Amino acid sequence: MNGREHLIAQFLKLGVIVSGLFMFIGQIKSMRFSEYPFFNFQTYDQIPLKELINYYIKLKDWGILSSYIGLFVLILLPFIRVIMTIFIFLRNKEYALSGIALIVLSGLFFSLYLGIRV
Amino acid sequence: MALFILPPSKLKFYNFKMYSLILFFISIFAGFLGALLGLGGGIIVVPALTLLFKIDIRYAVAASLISIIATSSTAAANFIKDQLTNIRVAVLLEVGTVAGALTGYFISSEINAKWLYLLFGVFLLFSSLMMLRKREEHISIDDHPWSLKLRLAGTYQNEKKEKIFYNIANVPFGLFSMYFAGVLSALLGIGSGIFKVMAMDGAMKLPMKVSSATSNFMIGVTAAASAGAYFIKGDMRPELTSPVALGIILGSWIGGKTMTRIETSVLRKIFITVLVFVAFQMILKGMKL
Repeated sequence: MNGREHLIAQFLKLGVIVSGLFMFIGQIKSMRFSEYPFFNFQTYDQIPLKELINYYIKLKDWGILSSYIGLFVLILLPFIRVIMTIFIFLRNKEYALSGIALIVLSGLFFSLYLGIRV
Repeated sequence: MALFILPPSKLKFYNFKMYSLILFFISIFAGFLGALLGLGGGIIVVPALTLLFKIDIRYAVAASLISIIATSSTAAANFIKDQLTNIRVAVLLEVGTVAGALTGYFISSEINAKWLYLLFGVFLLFSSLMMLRKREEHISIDDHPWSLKLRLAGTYQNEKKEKIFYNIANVPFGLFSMYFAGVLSALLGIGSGIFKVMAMDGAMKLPMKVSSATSNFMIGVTAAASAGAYFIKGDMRPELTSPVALGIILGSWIGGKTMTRIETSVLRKIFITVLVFVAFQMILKGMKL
C-alpha cells in the first residue's frame, strides 16, 4: 500500500499545519489583549468545555476560541487516521488488517466514552 | 468563574508573554526528543509544567496528551515518507495497546500503584543494562507465521542510504507486550512509548529506527481517546496547551527530519539515557507513595 501510505502522511501534515495555524493565531491574539498568567492553573478548577466556550464567546475572545479550534483539529487527527487505514486496507482487499483497524477504532470510541463519563 | 479574577499583586511577577515563550522553547526540545525516540515528549512536558510552573497535574497531563498527539502526527508525516514507519505492524499492535488501556482503566482501583512503580522502575533499569550490552542491530532471519500472513515485514533505508530488509519475529509476544504497555500506561499514567519501543526492538527484532518511528505512529492513537475526554471535560486550556503544542510541532518536525541522518548507535544511547532517567523517576515516585 505504498502509494496510499503517502495519503496518510499528507493528511497528517495538512492537519498539523491547519491546527498549528489556528493555535498560532490564537496565541498571538491572546498574548496581545489578555494577561492571563499560568497561576490560574496552579489549582484545579473543573469547568466543562461548554461553559468555557460560552464564556469566551460572551467575552468575544476570538484568540482563545481560535486556539480551541486548533486543539480540536489536532485531537481529531488520530481518529481520522485510523478510519483512513480501515479504508486503505479495504481497497487493497486486506480484510484482516482492515478488520483489526476497525477493532482499534471501536476500542478508541469506547475509551473516549469511559473517559467522558468519569 | 473565580479563576479569572487575578490578584493584582501577583501580576507583576508573572508575565504571560515571557512564560509562554519559555514553555514554547521547552516544548521544542520535548518534541525533538519525543519524535526521535518514539516516546511523545510527555516525559519532559509533565515535569516541566508541574515542577517549573507549579501547574496542577491534571492540566499538565492534558497538555502532555496534546503533546503526544502533536509529536505523533507531525513526525509521522516525515517518517512515512522515509519509509521508517511500518503502518501494518502499527495497526496490528494498536489492538494490544487499546485493549490494555481499557483493562488498566477497569482494574485501576484494585491495584497498589506503589509496588508497580518500584517494580517497573527496577525493570526499566535492568532493561537499560540489557540494551547497553546490545551493540548492533539483530535482524531476525525468520519471519513469524503471523507476519507472513499479514505481510508485516518491510524495508527501510539506513543512514548510509542502504536499503535494509527486515523480518518480524515473535508477533504474539509483541502483541502481548503492547497489551501490557497499555495496562501500565493506564495504571501509572506514564507514556507507553518506552515499552513499545523496547518490545519492538527487543522481542520483535525490528530495527531501532523502525521501532521508534512505529511507536511514534501508535502513541498518538492511544493518547487521542484520553485527550478527547480531557478536552470535553474542559481540562485542556489553550493558554497552557497552545504554546506547548506549537513548540512540540516545531520540535518534532525537526526531529522527523533528523531521524534519517542520525546514527542508530547514537539514537540507542539517547534512548538508554532517557530510560535510566525514567526508571529513577518511577522508583522515586514509588518510594514517596
